[in-house]
Amino acid sequence: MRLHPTNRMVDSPTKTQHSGALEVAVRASLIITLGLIGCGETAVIASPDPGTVTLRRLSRTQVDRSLRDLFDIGVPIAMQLPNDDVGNGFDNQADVLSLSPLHIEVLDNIGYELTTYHVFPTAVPVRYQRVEAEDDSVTTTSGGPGGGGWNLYSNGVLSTSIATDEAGPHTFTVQTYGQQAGPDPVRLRIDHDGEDSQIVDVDWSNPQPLDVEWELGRGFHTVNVAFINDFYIPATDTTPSQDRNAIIDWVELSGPFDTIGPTPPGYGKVFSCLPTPAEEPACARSIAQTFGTKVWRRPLTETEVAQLADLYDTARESGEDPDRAVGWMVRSLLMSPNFLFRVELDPSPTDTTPHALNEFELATRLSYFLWSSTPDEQLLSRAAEGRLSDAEELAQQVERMLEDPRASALVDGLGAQWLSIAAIDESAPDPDVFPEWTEILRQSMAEEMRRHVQSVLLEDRSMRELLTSDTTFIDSTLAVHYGLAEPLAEWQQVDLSDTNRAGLLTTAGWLTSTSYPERTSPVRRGKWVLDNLLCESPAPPPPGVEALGTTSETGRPSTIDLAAHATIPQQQLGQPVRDRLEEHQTNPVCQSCHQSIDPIGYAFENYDSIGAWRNTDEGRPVDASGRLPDGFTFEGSTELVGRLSESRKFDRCVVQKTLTWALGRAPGVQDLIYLDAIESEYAASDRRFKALVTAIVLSDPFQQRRGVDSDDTPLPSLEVTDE
Amino acid sequence: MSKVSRRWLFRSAGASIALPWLGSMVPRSARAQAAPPMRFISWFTPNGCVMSDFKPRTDGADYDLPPSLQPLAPVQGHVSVLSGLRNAGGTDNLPGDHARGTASFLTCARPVYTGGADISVGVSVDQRVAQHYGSATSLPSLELGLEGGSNGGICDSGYACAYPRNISWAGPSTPLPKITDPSLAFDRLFGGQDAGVTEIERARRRELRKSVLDESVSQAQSLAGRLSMQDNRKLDEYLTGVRELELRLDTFEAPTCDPGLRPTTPPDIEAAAMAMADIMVIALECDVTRVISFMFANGGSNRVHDFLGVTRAHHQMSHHGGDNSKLTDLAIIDRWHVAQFARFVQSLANTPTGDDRMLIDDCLVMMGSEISDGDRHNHDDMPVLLAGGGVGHHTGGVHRRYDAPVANLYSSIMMAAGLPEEAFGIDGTGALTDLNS
Repeated sequence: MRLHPTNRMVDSPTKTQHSGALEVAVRASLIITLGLIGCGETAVIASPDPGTVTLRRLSRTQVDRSLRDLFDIGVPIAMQLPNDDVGNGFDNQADVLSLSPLHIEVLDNIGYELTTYHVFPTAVPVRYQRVEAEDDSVTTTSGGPGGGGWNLYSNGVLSTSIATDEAGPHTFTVQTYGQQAGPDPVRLRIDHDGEDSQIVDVDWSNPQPLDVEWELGRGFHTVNVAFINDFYIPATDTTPSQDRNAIIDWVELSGPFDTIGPTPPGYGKVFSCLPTPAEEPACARSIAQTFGTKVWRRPLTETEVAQLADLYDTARESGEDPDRAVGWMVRSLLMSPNFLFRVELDPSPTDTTPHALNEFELATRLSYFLWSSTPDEQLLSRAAEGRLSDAEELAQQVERMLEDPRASALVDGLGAQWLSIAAIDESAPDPDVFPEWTEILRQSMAEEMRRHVQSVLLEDRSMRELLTSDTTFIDSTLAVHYGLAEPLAEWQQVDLSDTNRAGLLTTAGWLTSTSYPERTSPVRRGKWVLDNLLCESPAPPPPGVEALGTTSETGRPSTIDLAAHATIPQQQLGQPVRDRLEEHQTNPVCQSCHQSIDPIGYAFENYDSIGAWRNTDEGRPVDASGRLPDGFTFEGSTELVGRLSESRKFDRCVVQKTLTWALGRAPGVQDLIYLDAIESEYAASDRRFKALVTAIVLSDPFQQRRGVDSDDTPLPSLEVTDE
Repeated sequence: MSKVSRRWLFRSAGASIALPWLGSMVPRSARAQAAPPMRFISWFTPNGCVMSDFKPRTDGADYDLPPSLQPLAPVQGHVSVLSGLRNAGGTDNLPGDHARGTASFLTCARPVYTGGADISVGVSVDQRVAQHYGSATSLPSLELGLEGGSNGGICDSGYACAYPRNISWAGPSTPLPKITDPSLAFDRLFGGQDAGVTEIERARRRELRKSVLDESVSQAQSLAGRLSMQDNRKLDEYLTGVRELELRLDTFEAPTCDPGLRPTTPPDIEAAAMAMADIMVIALECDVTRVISFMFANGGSNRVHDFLGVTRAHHQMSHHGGDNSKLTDLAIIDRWHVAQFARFVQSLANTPTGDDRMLIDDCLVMMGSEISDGDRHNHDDMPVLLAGGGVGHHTGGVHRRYDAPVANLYSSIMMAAGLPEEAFGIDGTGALTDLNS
């Protein structure tokens, strides 16, 4: 369903009833579809419908965060899974999360890596560190280079410093030989740090390794090789000289040998009991149930426990010790559809009567909504106690979870994807035009946006401040870019009230990611605002529209993409961007869409393609004023952003995006009544994010589900375009 | 060319010295079969080409090498330029040519315009060949690439990200994701978790892994009866994956050839491209797979090729508007792609495969893009290179001019793999008949 784009406008903040063409049309279709009686403004839905959502596979991020929490590991072990596809602007949408054989193969490998490296202690790898005797890092008190190494031709010490990674048995090897003379062989004294001193005779005359064994602690060690029995008789007329020398070619420290590293925290996570001989069968079953409940996010049935116990026995019979046999049960738990999918069951798959989720299913929805991860022990135990059906308890859980560090997943998921923070990675400002552009600046821009979004979402500020906040976060790179004072810390929250910036739409990151390499794009900026802040995606340009003023070689009405559409003809180079877009307002075909898009973008013309302030464009003063189709006029971004932030469409869009993230599906027309209800809760509580989340968690679409009738055609979704 | 592996240098040196261990590198299957199997490798480059620098002016054998094709000089005898091929699957009266062109690249089908829920295009030619070969090798096919793609998801003009990110489609709605890290690709080919263990230990682990998979299947089956039809489709994807892994465990044998060292994560794109090409050659010579697809980048990619001295982003620059400096930079990138292709062809030509044959004699290696010209976004007169003997089905070194769908080339490729002739995709009319003349 794509609506004709005329009449699109930012609605007045005072309106409280639906007025946009979109919703009228949607309601009309709702009435037709459901055969309801009533009129658009007061449609009452006869049978509320929580909707259906396809079996959700865990996204790559969700697998990763779940495993981090389940095994207490700090490495992104699941990022070897293939990238997930994006639908409705997010990477957690049930319909789009497909599954290929590669996923299964990688999942099997993740199970292997987890049980090999993150549950049981592993042997510390042996490290060999060789230092050539002539190396600059070696100090000597006598001798000089010669004989294929360093020739200690008088008594003296050769020393160097070598670090060990782990304590344990080490071998110190000296590749050496003697130039023998006199009654005794060459004699060396070898020690480390002045300890374990050992005297060794080198009675050979070709390079050979000489090993000494040391028990070493972790850290730096000074190793010393001393020549201690120099012998010299000068030549006489009848006898040649007699000269005893020690030649050192290289020294090497290797180890630690036979050393087992520390037990990873994953061991404690898995082993709730120890499978000692007396307890073995009972403990194996107990681990299957206890750890299985965490991995599958629900208690296991008797049959399931018995199956895992069978695997344990098979592994034992094949020769695994009890610990490793538990490891195989862990691999089985992770490989299971009960881990990889968020299974929710209906009494009958074709029964379309809405019913409440069970408590474990609800706990799971909650934790993947807020943490992109598996429910923690508190959630699981509340579910087991049957307390999550209590609205007050749920609200408390929301509060607790939003304060937990795991809630950063909302910023990195919902926030970053909705507000296109990652889009800055794709930006490539033209270095000829913007020599000040650097990778460091790019990273700082992304981090500013992330911190800003985090501060609004998780510090429970009004969501309007997303757009209007008079504080932001800067590091020294951004301080230079914005012309602000150097921050006192690496990142500092700073006051913007006396500057020309406020909120997300004046962050350099947003301004850059919506620009072309050489110039700004009012069209992209305007379209982004419509798409993401007002949830009104403009239709693509109609067929046959050429890039402005260009003709294709064949003269055919070529198909275009938006970047081609935006190509500026050569003859207009050197004009301000705004002038080049003149045709958008004069050609009626263009104007029908661009009258809504372009003025929003004009408001930000004072910010160049990398978000720096400018007063002129191509030598002419910037005109950042504009007029929206509904007659609202503004002089620049502050007025426009103020109007956007107070508009009801922005409220609705915030609700719609958050609900899409929460449910893993696009809201459909059957969700309108819920959107209305959630929105009014949200608006009534001063547009706090926590209130929004709570209202969603308590809503029917979040708490309920139903089966799918065989001829149940999906209702149209509210959002069609997806860019 | 700063980081070249030792192995690569050996291959590229031009000499095919018969080293003592080559005997053991002859694939099992090649020894067992009378006719060697055709291997199909497809390479994808994004954003089209500067065709004026790409298309030879002379036809037939000994065609001239325009600037972008000059890296082909040492291997020109193996490489044909096929001009005048078109792909109707890429066309539509909608924006989104990069998404459409990429999805139709090997399918010659027009993707359904959707943002996600109901993606559908067609089965790609590489997968048709892989499905025909079945389990002759331990991996039916291998999908590789150099660009994953951020999850933020700005895909092309409303098309689902699956379209511009995948060229291999096992079914109309089943894109096969690609591996973008050479070390992970190496593990997939050569059984990472069992590397270096004894045969007895490997067998023991295999039995336990199969027990794990048996439990997964039984859990999935007990769920199946309780889920709706659409949920069962997801579960089917899962079961397919589990069965494929079971099959791999059954058929897996330790490689009979020396796969060399596991590559480390490459420091930059050029090193990654070389490492991937290296892996492809090893996979083919060890006969671990006979079908490979490789994407230099996703359709419409905005990669910055700064190592070539090109600092503007590829896609944005590809809308060149006739600007000479952009055209120059674009041609530099085209030439780099061709150079990587030429190096790959060279290494196939340097690799013996038994019976006095070289690997290149058995391969068909195709390179192309999702559009022709970056500014026009047209899907006719596409840039297409074809290399290798294809077991007698192709004669290299010729500039062949057509006015035909690229689908017809795919019909020929399928025939070279032993499939009967068919009209492929939405615009195919049958095989190109003159490829080996």
